[in-house]
Amino acid sequence: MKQHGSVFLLMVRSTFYKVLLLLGAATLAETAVFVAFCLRGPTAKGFGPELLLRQGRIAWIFGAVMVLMTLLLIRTGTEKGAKTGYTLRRLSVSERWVFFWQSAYNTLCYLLLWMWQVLTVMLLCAVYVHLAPAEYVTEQTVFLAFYRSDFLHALLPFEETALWVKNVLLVLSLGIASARYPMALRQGSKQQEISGACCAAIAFFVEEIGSVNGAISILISLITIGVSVYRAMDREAQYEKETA
Amino acid sequence: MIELKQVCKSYGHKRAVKNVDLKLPQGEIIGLFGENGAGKTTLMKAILGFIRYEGTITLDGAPITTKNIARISFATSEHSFFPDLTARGHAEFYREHFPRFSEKRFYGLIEFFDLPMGKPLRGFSTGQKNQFEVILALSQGADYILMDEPFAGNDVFNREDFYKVLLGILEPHETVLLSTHLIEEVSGFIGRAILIREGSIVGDVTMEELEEQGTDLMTYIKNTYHYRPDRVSKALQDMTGEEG
Repeated sequence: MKQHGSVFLLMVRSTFYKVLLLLGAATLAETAVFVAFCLRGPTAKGFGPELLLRQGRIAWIFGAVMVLMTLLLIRTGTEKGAKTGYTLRRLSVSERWVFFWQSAYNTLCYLLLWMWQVLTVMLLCAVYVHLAPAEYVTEQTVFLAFYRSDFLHALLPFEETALWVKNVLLVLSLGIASARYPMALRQGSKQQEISGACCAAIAFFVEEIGSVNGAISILISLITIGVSVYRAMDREAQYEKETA
Repeated sequence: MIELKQVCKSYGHKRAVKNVDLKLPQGEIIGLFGENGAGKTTLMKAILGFIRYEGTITLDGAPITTKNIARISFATSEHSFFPDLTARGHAEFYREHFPRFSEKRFYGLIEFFDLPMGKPLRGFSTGQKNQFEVILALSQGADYILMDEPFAGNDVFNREDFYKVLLGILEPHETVLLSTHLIEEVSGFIGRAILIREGSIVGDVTMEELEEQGTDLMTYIKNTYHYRPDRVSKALQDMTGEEG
């Protein structure tokens, strides 16, 4: 079990501080647009948290951070200036396990990104409630914002189980596909499930009420997970057969 | 003993390794020489199971699989370490996966070459990276240490140090297969030379045999490759029109 733990720790040691730096930078960027929005004051369109999130382009920052995080995570195992695959293929655990642990770690990173984003917007909303003129704020302001803004609702869908399922599957498909990418490169193929997962996340994360985006997103996530896992297992089985 | 029987490897239509038969017993320091593209790296990668090949390669009669791959280590100029990990991080990781990992040898060599323990490898100079790559290969507790141009980028004094260290620390059961272009530098400490050309073994001689024949390694290699010493002067003569 120690060997498995060391593979997981390898992922943590290689990228976790970078993930935290990225999240820190994202918080700074989002805070900056929040400050800029607050300084502008009330406009003809109003002055509320959902407007802040729409005009502040916080969803765009979230999307960009997700793509950057993906670029960061897929580097583990295909680092520039080294062929770490030579070592990963000689470990006491099979490459299938390396894929499993990298999938688990990457999924946790995407989960962290999601939670971090929820916390950040909640904090910004709390600051907004504190700073905004009294006529723009009620006890329900933040709660209603999470219903009225598609982005906020996608982040924290409350009792909408389908959205929770969609988000969890998105996170899982990103985690698994981003672990499959370096494995495929090490094995000499260029499979692009991660591109599909990223596009699905960007295109379908935010959805309007009543749209079919959620169903499409769930379908793409399931296909991405299935294809990534099948290819990882199949290639590894081939390798084991060849070297048996 | 590592034994290769009728090993062939093709990349498309190009045959990189042709019908190689070779025996690498324990306790030898073997030089593997050949021009660029002769098949040295391909041969090593085939032994390690990194590429598919035809023929058989066995280690003490058994195929090389994840079960016995720890008995072979690999140092390459492409580098197989993890750039984001520190030297200490590598020691902790390798200890879990290579049961015979020698911390004594690892830390001894790190101290000898004065390498930083807490700095990620990507911050090392090229020479330090090469040193670390070789240190990892020597510390794994492997019986067979394959080195593919490990000193590319190191200065002559550095290489000299390495040769001395290598001779001083190797145990009688350890075999080194060293691929290099630095023929004259290594001729003093290798016990056997294997010459590969266009994927075929064209020479295999022990230093004792060369001594008996009253010749040196460089002369042997030149004779085997039918090197024409007058080739350069003739070419210069043709280009300049001057008599040599």
